[in-house]
Amino acid sequence: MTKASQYRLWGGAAIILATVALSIFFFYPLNEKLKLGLDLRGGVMLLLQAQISADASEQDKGDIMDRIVTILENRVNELGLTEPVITPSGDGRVLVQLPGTTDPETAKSIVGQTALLEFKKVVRAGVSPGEAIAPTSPLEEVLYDGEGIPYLVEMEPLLTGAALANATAQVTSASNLQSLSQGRYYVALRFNDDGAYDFTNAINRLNVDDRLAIVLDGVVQSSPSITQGIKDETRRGTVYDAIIQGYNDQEQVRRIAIVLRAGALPVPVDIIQNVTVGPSLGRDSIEAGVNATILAGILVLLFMAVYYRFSGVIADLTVLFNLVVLMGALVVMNATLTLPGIAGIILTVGMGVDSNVLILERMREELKNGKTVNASIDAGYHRALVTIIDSHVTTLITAVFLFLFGTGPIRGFAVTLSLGIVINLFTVTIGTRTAYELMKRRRVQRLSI
Amino acid sequence: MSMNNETLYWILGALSLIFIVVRILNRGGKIWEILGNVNIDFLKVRKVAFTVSGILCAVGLVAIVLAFMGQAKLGIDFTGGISMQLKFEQPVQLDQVREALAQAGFADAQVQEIQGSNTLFIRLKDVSTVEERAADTIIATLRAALPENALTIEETTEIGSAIGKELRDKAVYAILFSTLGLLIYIAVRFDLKFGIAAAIATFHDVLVVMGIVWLTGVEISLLIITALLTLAGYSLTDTVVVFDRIRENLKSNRSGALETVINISINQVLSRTIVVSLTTLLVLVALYFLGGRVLQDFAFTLGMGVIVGTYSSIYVASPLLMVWRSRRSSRLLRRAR
Repeated sequence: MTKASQYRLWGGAAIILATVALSIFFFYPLNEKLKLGLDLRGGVMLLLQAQISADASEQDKGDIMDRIVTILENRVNELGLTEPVITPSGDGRVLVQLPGTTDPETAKSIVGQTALLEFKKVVRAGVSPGEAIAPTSPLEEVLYDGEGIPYLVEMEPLLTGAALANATAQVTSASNLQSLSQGRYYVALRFNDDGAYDFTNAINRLNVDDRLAIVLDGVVQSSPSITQGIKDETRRGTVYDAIIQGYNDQEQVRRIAIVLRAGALPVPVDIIQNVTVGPSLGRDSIEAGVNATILAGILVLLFMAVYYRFSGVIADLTVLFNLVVLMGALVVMNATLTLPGIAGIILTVGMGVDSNVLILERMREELKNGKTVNASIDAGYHRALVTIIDSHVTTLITAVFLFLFGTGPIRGFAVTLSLGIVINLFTVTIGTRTAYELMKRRRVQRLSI
Repeated sequence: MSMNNETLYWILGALSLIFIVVRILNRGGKIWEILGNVNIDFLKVRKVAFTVSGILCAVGLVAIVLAFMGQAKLGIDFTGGISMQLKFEQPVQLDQVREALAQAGFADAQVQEIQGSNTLFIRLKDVSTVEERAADTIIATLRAALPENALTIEETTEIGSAIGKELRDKAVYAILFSTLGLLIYIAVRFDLKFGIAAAIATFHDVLVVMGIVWLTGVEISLLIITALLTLAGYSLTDTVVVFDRIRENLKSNRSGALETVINISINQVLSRTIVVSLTTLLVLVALYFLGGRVLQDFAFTLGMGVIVGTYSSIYVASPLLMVWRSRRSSRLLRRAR
């Protein structure tokens, strides 16, 4: 036995043990360490497109996206979900992933709302829906409430949501605010110092019986009249509190409070994609995927052991080695496993088997040509390696383009496939190699192949 | 998937038994020699093969043209729209659901029942924006129409039509660029003619499987495109394995006729080709039956790809090398003339 092959054997064995140990250390316990995609665990995914004007500078665009992400994070955190993920995804888009929720309606209204709150002076209020009111000057505009009643208001707001320090959802009780004529729920606003100062000034400028429209994203929420009582209050000092009243839906009030607390988005957003997966479907698909993987895996491993005998068992061990390292790598790279990702893993296993088949077939050929066992091992391994590298590189090229141009599910597939290919090259050059060095060392007369 | 566990054990048990029997019969290691000593003249039938392939490719081309004209069965990934899977507590009357949806203005909605599960699969294409909240409206409509039958949302997907177009463009780019990348790699590793032959064979496989997908009415979704790209990689691997052997034999056997060298090479790698195709098919069959609705079409497409890819590496890619045998420019092929 040459010195080089001695090094190869012990070096290889050390690397294998170290990689396996490291991989297991990283991914154990697998169900806690490996992140599952929404398709496997259930949840809501929304893709938002921010309506940024085309002439905004790159710097401005970046700032706007950062603010959108921060504000959405604040809003989503209030929903009390575990591990929401909000990431900008280029071209003014934001990807919002909310694992564990199955209520796309709430998610959409929390995430998709601009939440621009404005207080505007009412010039003339309509009485019934569909009434025709036209602006009398360019400084005025017509807004509608939820029932379609028009309001002619001054365009310039007296106050915006920037004045808020806090907003909470409240429910009326007997002792509390008898003035609430309709709807039991209301949003209590708390102004910050500047906001309170501006609000007090605004009230001072309005006359008794003037009406103030509270507008959220262009829809009038309520339009309280200024009473003598309110005017008196501003005379006594700065007013810090206000309410938006008249809601019947507790859930709606909760959502409004959440979006107001987190603040308005700098620009409106469109929801351009929504994928919701119920938790039971997620469980079913993971079970189906795992079942398929296990069955397919056992079948292939069995086949290898039968068809190639002891050499097939070595090939099986290499494939398992590949799988262990792949799991470790996925965890280390913080990758998310999706259903197409599982398909990618299965294909990787297939490629691992292919590599071994190439080597084993070549060894058989060399044996048939009358070479000794050791010579056949060397020749089979080296000749097959050329083909293995070629075939892996070509598949890797496909996987890389899939990753570059793919979106969502395709990317998940491309990630596990390309990782698998690279790892497979590693396990074939180190793992399989070491196994055969070991066999050569035993100087077997007949190879079980 | 509860019934599948039982099926799984049955299949496993039966197959283990078969394997054990084969294992005992294979004690002398003789089974593989049946495959090991073949000498088939694959090139003899190349004209037939080219004709068959030509026809199949034409079908595929028709499918692609139709897909771009919006005539083929495209998934909502590419058209934009809504798909949702709703689970009801009790059995539902499909007519009732369709009628309720039609009254709410969704006459175009396709409603399917997933066999024996009280689960409906509803699809609506070409909804202009997600903002219109058609999904929410559909659910509200069904809740109102079937008040005693509680429903849970298992899955909804809404895709705006603008993003659908974008996804389609990206899928086309992915196919074009990866083919170009493969061509360049093989042109560098072998030579240009091998590269062109491999690229043609790869395109052939994608076209043929596209035609099969179209003919069998499988909906073309992003996942199917993924399958097409994967099979392109797979069939290329097959082709590369044969080409590698041809290259090796060309170098060691300078005097033999090209036709003989190619035939010998295909025969030499035949057992590998069959073993790998079989093991891959084994995996895909498992995925098809156990992988659930999402992976079923994927496994089907890929399975077709494996069959077509194996065929093309033997009957299309290698015979294509013969087409150029009289031309001068090929570094590798010239030697063997």
